Amino acid sequence: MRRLALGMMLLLGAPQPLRAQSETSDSLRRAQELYERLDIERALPLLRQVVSPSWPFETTKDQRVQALTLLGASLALAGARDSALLYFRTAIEREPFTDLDAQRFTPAQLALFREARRLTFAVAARPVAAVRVDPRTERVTFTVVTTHAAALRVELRPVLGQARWVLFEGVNDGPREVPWDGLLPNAHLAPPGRYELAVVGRSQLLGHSDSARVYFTLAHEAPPLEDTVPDLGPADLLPERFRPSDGRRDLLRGLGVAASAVAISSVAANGDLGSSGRALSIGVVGTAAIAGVTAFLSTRRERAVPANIEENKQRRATRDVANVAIARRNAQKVAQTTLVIEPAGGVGP
Amino acid sequence: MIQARRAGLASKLLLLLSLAPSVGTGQTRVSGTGLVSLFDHQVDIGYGAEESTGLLLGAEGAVTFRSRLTLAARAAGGSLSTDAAGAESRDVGEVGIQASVDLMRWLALRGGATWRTYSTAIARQRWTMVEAAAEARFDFTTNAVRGVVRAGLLPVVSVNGLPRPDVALTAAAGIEYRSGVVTGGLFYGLERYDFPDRGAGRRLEQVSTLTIRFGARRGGDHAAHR
Repeated sequence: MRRLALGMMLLLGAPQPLRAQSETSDSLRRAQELYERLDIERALPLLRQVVSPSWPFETTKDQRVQALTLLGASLALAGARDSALLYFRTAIEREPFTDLDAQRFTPAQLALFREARRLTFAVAARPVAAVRVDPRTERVTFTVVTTHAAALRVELRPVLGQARWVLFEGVNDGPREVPWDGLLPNAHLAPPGRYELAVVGRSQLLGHSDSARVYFTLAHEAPPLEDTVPDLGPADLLPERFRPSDGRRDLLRGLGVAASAVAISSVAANGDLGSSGRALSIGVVGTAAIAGVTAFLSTRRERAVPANIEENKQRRATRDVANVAIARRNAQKVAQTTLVIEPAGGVGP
Repeated sequence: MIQARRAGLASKLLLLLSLAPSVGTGQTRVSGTGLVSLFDHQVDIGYGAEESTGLLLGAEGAVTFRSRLTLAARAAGGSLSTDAAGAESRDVGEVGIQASVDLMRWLALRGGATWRTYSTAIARQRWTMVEAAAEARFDFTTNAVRGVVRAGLLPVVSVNGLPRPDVALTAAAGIEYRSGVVTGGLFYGLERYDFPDRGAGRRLEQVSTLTIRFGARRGGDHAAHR
């Protein structure tokens, strides 16, 4: 009693479309029960109501296909072969993946259904399921179908771009799983983006063609990569040749420091305290001047500096070694990339 | 109050500068330096300059982060002797902390504080000085010499028993030579303090130093010196 009350409350509180779907679902369940009790006379009007355009309740595609299939099966049992065929074909047209369970239907029903499949041509692809795939060990699997023997071509292409590559091309009859390793034909990982899976088939029995498309987005998930060491600029390298102008500049630097020491000891110092402290500056004045003059004299002619050339080589080699190591570590990280696949609604948001 | 405000301003300036865009990309560098200073202290309280000289020995440790922010601490001490009549020999000791930020490869701003004590058998005088200075560095192209010129103000000077000086400045010039991880240098430095006349005559003090430095470092960028 309490359960009934709870059920009533839930039913009354549920949104309108849900109740409508539930009505369809209840009708289908009743029809299924009648069919299983072989009470075909009572099952048929109920099923016809559900598939009728005047059925006032919301019906999903799956519910409609289920009703059509059950109608076909019921009519087959009732001996109405042509009508059964018609409903089976309608069900197949709406959902090419529709099939009858050989354990639950009679050979006559199965034969009629096969006939309906031969007379109807359609291709379809199942919506891509959200999945994470390690391309080193796993595959993305797309499921496609043709209702009967057909030349089938399954293509994948990025929505933005002209490239496309064929995942399957050949004769197919019924459902088929098409695996994809996440790689482009050039063996690189497919770049992130939105993709279209296109299925095109041409019937070998009827000569008709049909096509279907599903969309999905692909993203990469990889550990963050390291930046490589930037190129060594002039500030990172030693001069490989000394020119006379270098010596002149160093002379000016030395004399500048010497002049600064003189200025500090004379201008900044307090003149009222005498000049005894100034004597200490002489050491720096002399050393700085000698350093400048020595640099000037040593570069009166342009010359190469083997020690600096060697040092620069060493620095470049160190950088190269570091970059090789970084590239190796980055390659290892890229190899760990996981493909994250999500279903998408179309070519754009 | 004004001194405290100036010290606060200096510390804020240093913080802002440390957040400025980097000029280098090296890693952390640690250095240790030994110092020998010829220390010349002159004081004039209106009766002529009295001069004390002596040798100070000291040591400095510094850490440089990302080739641009350097934090250093130093300590030095020694004895000063004088020939002035009636004056006593004194011991001097000081400790200091310092931070400097490289704005460009050749220019750095630095700030720091020094606590110095002059002591005799009967008295002790404590000095506290806060420094804000700019330091220019001139790397020689043709050898591993670097010229250094520094000038700055001492916005906070506190001496027990004395008023705040009207003029307090610091300056230095020197030459460094680097060979591998070893550095040697010779620096001339000056500190000048002009105290105001409070009726008993004007007090002038000045410290001149000639310092020889020997140091070694570990880590850091290799391109800073040639």
